[in-house]
Amino acid sequence: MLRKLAMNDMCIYHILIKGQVALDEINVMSPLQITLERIDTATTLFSVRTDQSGLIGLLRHLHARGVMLLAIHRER
Amino acid sequence: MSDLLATKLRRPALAAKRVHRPRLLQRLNDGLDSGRQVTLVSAPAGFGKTTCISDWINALDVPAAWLSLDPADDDPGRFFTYLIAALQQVDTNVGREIEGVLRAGQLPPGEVISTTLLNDLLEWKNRCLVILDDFQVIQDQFILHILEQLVINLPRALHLILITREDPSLPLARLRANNQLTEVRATDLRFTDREADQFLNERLGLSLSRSDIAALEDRTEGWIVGLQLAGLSLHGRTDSTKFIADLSGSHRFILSYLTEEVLNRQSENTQQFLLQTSILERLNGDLCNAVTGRTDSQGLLQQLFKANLFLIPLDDQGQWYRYHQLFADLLRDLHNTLLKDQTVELHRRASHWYVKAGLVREAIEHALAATDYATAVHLIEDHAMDLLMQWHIKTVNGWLQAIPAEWCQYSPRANLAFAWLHLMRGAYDQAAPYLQRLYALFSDPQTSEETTDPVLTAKWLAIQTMLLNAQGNPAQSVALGNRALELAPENDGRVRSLIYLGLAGAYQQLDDYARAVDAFQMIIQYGRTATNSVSELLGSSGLALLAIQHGQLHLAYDLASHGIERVERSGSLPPISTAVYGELGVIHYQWHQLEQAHRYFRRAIQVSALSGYSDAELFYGVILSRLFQIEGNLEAAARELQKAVDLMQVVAPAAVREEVIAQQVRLYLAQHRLAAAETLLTGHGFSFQDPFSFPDLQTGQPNVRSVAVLYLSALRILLYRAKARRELTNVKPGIDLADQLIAGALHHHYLLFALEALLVRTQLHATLGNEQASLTDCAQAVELAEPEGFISVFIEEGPPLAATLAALLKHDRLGAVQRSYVEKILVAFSRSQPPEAAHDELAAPPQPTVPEGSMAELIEPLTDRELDVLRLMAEGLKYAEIAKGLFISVNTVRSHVKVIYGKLGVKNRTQAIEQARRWQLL
Repeated sequence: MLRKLAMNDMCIYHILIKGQVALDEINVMSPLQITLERIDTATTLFSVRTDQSGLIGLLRHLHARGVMLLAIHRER
Repeated sequence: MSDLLATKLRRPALAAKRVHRPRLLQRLNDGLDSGRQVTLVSAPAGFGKTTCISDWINALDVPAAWLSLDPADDDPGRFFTYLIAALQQVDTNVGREIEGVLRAGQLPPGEVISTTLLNDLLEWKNRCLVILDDFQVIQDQFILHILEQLVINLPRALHLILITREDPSLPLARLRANNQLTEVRATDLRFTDREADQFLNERLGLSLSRSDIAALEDRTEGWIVGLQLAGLSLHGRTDSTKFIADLSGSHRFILSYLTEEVLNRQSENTQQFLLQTSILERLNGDLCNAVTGRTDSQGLLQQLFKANLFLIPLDDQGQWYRYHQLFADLLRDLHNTLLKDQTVELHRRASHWYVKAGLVREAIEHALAATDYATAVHLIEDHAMDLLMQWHIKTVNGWLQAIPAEWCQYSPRANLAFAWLHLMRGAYDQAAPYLQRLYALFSDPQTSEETTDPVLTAKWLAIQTMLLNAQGNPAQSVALGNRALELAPENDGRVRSLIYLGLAGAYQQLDDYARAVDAFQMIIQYGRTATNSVSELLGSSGLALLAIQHGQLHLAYDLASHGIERVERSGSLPPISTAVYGELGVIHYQWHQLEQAHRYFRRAIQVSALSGYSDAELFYGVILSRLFQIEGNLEAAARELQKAVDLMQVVAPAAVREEVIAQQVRLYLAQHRLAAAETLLTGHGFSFQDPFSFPDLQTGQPNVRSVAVLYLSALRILLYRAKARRELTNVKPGIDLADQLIAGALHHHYLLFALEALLVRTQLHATLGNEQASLTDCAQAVELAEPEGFISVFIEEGPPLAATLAALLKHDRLGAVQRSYVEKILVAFSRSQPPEAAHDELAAPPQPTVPEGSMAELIEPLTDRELDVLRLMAEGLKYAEIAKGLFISVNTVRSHVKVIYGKLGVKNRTQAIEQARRWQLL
């Protein structure tokens, strides 16, 4: 049985965003180190390991830089 | 400091009986001891973040600057005002300069804020903590960008602690990678079983079994607020185990469920108080009495605090409190369900209380929440100027946006407030729709009763006078200004000084010296009665500048020095003080007191950079260049001038642009770069080929100084040609032009300009061998200059003029002028270093030090990329084609072209290509 997810749990999140982005540029000022998983002409997939506060902060950081979010998936 | 601000800077008090958390304190201590510079405490609400840090700091013997942030602090002016106030709790000298500028209503450029703060903080030798609590409210990119710079460059002594519900958009990954970040997150903050036991049984006085505690800890996930609410709900219950077993669901659900449980256990009286006061961000007894109509609020607040009902004390006196944010949110939800019909009235009462307490921001926010737009607009209109002067633009804009458009449409007050909001920032485009609406409202008084209000009409007319001045229509501006004066009450100093400001500008444009002086004096007078030091300084500065232009150096000195003395005493640093420091620099410069002049110019430029007021930085940079030039330091003169030229790419007010060109001409001639000097003026319609020609000069046209300065520069070129190349054919037309300039300047009492022109004509006569005429001009200049003690205006002309002055003495042509005055000028000549490149041009025509017809003509050479752009321009490519060819954007091409034109001293592509070919750049 899966343990229920708590607010404080650290998880790995896979985040899909539109288009190609320069991850080095985003990482320079990012609250979290982003690891690139896959990049193609239309989308970029990266992963982060963090908790709820980290995830919300990262999404806001990306949004402020005009990044368009397509999907978020939590690794079980 | 207001009581409310003090509550933001105070570290939250700790409960006497609290859970000790040595594992967290140890982690925080380890981070500090290992030299990490930032601590991030990031977890959702209710995890005890603030208490944890407050507890830690309480145990440390380290000075700490604490700032509790509110959503309204996400406004740059407000944020940095509070941040500096917090830092000054540790060291009163930090951020003094920026504080002065902020107080005066300006927001310095971002890099100036970060550099100045960092420089101040570098002075800290002992370790100090800076804590920003509730940092998640800060989302403004300007603020975050400056904090980013601070975080990257934090001085060693400073340790920054960010308490936040979400990770901020700052380079934390970089800090983490460099082992510079200590993190405390939700997983660290959640209570362990042991801590939960201590909290519930020891602190809240329950008697729960170990298994009940473990179950409760599991249900709430160690979430402290959840545990606290559960503990309060369990008081006096006999079915604890069942109650805990039944508890399930999300944090939000548990919170909502438990809050209702807790509330239901309070008396009806207390429940009513909690729900009614939930509309307040902060609470004190008097405010709660006003809102609820009770008389016992202070006692009730103290009882609630003792009962652990999520009330947080904000001061040491037990006066101000706030509810824990989560509890407040839940109370407001309940309020909206149960007391909805009271909400408007409660906000209205809160607004009235805040008005009486003089706390305008809170009063406006409650008036808006009460949908009492009439009161809100009244308050905004009365206070918007003051708030805008404190650079709370985002806050004021937010209020105005909260007023429904249909309501705003017919309100002259709201439109006036909007118009001022945009005009204050120089955003004329954005002000236009409100101005148009004001035109419509005031031209048809039937649309609103308010348009018959004389004070409102006067304010509207005051705005129009300024717009007319900007459009170059001073006569109509004067007419409207005088009408406004008839309407504005005598005791409304703020409105009357605004009207006189418009009038002073109009009279200056009309060259009506006497009326301009009167208007400036009225600004000073009304500024004093309205205790508005900025208005007063505006008046003093305007008068001082007029006095300098009219040669009244002593009067200018009195005005400027008294003005600056008052500003320095007040601790504020309005942008206009840049002008006053600069005026003092000009006065000392003219008196040839060069050390003092240097000091004031440095100060003017420093204040200008702080306030982002580049016009002044540019103007005084030019005069500083002149100062270096008469000191013989042509390199420093060129450096200062180049700074001004660079600034011209950003701001280029017309009058200042001509001053820059005039100094470029002076400097080029001192460097014997005649072609470069001529190029600057040929672009303005002057031709130095035989015969000399120049644009039509209308004698007596307004603003002689700014318009005629280029003509005087042209005369300097003729003089150079006559001296260095013995080209005398154009000297006579030059003397004729000088006659017109001098007559115009004397007619308008522009003494300083008249002196410069007289001294150039003195030398033009000398080149023709007309010694008598030369001596006559020089004698007239000395006679005009003596009463106010001008000296540098003579030194600027170089050694040949010393010879003429000596001849005046020799031939006893001084008239009523004291001999000692001329001797003083000659002593100044002997002490001044002749520019290294400027020897006696009459005796020995100099060889150019820089080869003509090469890139060396440029003060700053073109970069490789600019040369690439220039070559493609010469091939006839369009901007888009150049951009494509060089893999850059069209905007980048445009900025390169702008810089190229500036460096080549040309105005268009054809001129640029011609110039580039002439200088063999292509």
